[in-house]
Amino acid sequence: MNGVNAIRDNEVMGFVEGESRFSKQSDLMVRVAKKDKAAFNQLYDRFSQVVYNLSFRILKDRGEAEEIVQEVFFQIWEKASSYDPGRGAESTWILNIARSRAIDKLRALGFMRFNAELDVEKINPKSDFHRITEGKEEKRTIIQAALDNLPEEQRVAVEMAYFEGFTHYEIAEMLNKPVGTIKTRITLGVARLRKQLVNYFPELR
Amino acid sequence: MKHKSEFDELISLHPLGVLDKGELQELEEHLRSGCKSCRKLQKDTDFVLSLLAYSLEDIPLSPTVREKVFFGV
Repeated sequence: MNGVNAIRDNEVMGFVEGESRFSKQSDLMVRVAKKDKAAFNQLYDRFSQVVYNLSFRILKDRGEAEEIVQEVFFQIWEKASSYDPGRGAESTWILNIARSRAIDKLRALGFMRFNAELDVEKINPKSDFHRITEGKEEKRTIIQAALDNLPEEQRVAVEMAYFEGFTHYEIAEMLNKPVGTIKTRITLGVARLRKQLVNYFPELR
Repeated sequence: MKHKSEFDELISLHPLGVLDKGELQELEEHLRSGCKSCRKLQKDTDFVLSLLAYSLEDIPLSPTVREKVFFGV
């Protein structure tokens, strides 16, 4: 399926509308908070790969990304009781921990400036290494299509901020644009992503 | 509490961890004031951004990582 058309095609087919197809809210976190290792095992199965993918995308180093996976799951084991389902999905909580740790490590390793020029070049092509998944997995395809449907300048700003960990000030400097423009691009980009994804994720309703 | 769209930008930037101290304080005060629209927007923004991780292609994860994790807990 062509990624750009995935959302439109799925809507026409109508097989995701109104269902919690991709949502897996569960009692796993509650059980992990009670030190249930079977639940922890299930949580690891469910989230370790995406935590690793995200960490690798940010750090571009397998060893460092593997360390992040370990740190994230140690934190989940220790802090599961602090997860509040009223404030967001368990996936959001876990991925926020992962991103935060990976960005901290990236900054500590001093990669930011070193990778700056390369990363901008890598983000721009829509066929970049990290984003080729045609037809492999529906959820991935839908989210990629939503990203691809963003105006280019919004997509670049959102990806630079989320995956590269650049602040809006740094992005403004790198793209030679006013800070306010970058803030607006991120805001509009996130709003547009939400609008495109709302039919697929009940958490957004 | 009346919704103020001027907070939309701060809410979009908040999960990225890039707000300065003043901006963060301003946003948190507004959220504490009980603006349901902004709370919903914040929750949605957090969720949407976390979904971006699912756009990435799988990179094979070594099974030794699982062993290390479970050895450590």
